[in-house]
Amino acid sequence: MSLTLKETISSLALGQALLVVPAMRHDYGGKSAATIAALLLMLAAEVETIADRRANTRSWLFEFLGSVHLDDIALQSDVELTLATARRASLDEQYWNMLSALTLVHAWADDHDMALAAQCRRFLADWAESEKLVPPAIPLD
Amino acid sequence: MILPEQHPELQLLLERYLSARWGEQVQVSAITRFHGGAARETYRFVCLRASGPLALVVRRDPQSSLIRTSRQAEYHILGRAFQAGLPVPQPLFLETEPFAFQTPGFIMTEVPGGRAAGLFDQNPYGDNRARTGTSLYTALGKLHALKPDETDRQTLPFHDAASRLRHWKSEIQAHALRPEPVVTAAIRWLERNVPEPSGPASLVHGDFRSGNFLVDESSGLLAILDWEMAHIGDPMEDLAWSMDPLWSHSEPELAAATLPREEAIAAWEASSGRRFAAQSWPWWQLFAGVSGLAIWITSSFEVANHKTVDPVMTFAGFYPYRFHNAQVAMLLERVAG
Repeated sequence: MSLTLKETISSLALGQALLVVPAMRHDYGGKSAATIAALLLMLAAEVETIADRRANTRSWLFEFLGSVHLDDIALQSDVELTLATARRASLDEQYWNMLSALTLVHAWADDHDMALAAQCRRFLADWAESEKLVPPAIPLD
Repeated sequence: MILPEQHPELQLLLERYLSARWGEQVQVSAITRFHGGAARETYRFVCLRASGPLALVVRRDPQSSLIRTSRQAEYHILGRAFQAGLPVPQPLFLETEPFAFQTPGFIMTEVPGGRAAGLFDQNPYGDNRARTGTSLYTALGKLHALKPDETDRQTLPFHDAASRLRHWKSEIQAHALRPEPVVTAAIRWLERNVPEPSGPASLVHGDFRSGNFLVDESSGLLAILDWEMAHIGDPMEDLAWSMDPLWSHSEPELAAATLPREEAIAAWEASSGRRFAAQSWPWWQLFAGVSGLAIWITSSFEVANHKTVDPVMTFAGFYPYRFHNAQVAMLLERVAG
């Protein structure tokens, strides 16, 4: 059994932070090495949760976009097309296509449907909060 | 054994340039690059003149930048702030010739000592934080008290709230690689709710935040750095950016990790002679997050297109982007319901 992605990146991050950074000067090169260590530590935390977060977002968007009824035939068609073709797209494409559709729906709702606009804002606040990264636990400056 | 940094081409260029400027042969040594500057590449060096050694700094245009800025504008505002007695390095020479320092740039004095806070530093000013905050917001007030003169108007861009918003919107549109549902919605709200000016237009630093404050543990504020985003505009922009939670070092109730917000505003009002525009504060808070996102989105574009491999740029497109995306979404829900 190989190392998981998280285990690999965590190990690289700690190696960078504990072996490479102290061996370098406190200058541009050394601080760049520390920045890379910080990035790796955040990536290690990210890989553990990204699959679940993306799946949850896709599910919510699929249900939400499937439930909207817009008084704009072209936009409604676009949304339905996004959903109809979602199954043929990669998971990544589904994610971004549905976020793109949400952006258009939100713009329409701001002008025509206050309750729907509020729903969009609520989703965005929860979604963006769940995407926030945790600062690295070890000092790196 | 760790070898000292080597920048032989830059050393040669600096020696040639400064010798010509001062009419004497000078020697340049100990060139080291500062970490973290994204709009300019910044190097400190020692210049040996007949009269003795001088600690200087050269800021030059990078190949890739988070933001497109004017070096003339930065050089000008630095001189203006220096003349007004603000704690800033003294600008010495501006060079716009394309290959002057491999790229164009300018030379200024180095302010010795102190350090700028790292983004993840906790309580970066320690026991000195109240004093540092008073110094910072008093200095900011002094900047905002300066009345833009004709030279300022010729050199610095003018951006009222609406045009500043247009500026960042165009940066986002030019650089967004993927859908941006949060910032798109936020810009829509900001466009529909542009506030009245808080007063006469003033000189605005444009990037007044903890990473640009050189502070010494014992003697307090030494210098305000990185003026590359300076413009003429509404001083509420500087207040909102400085108090953005990204720069709060995990203490969002404090302004720039220093004073409670009300005390910081009081210090600013006392030295600026202006009144804090409370009614437009939510707009400027949201605007601060949007401008942050514009910068981080631009950074992501540069990294994704391999225009830079500087890890600072990669970091910018990652942690601060996600932070501001969440901050802006939360504020948008608060202001729009």
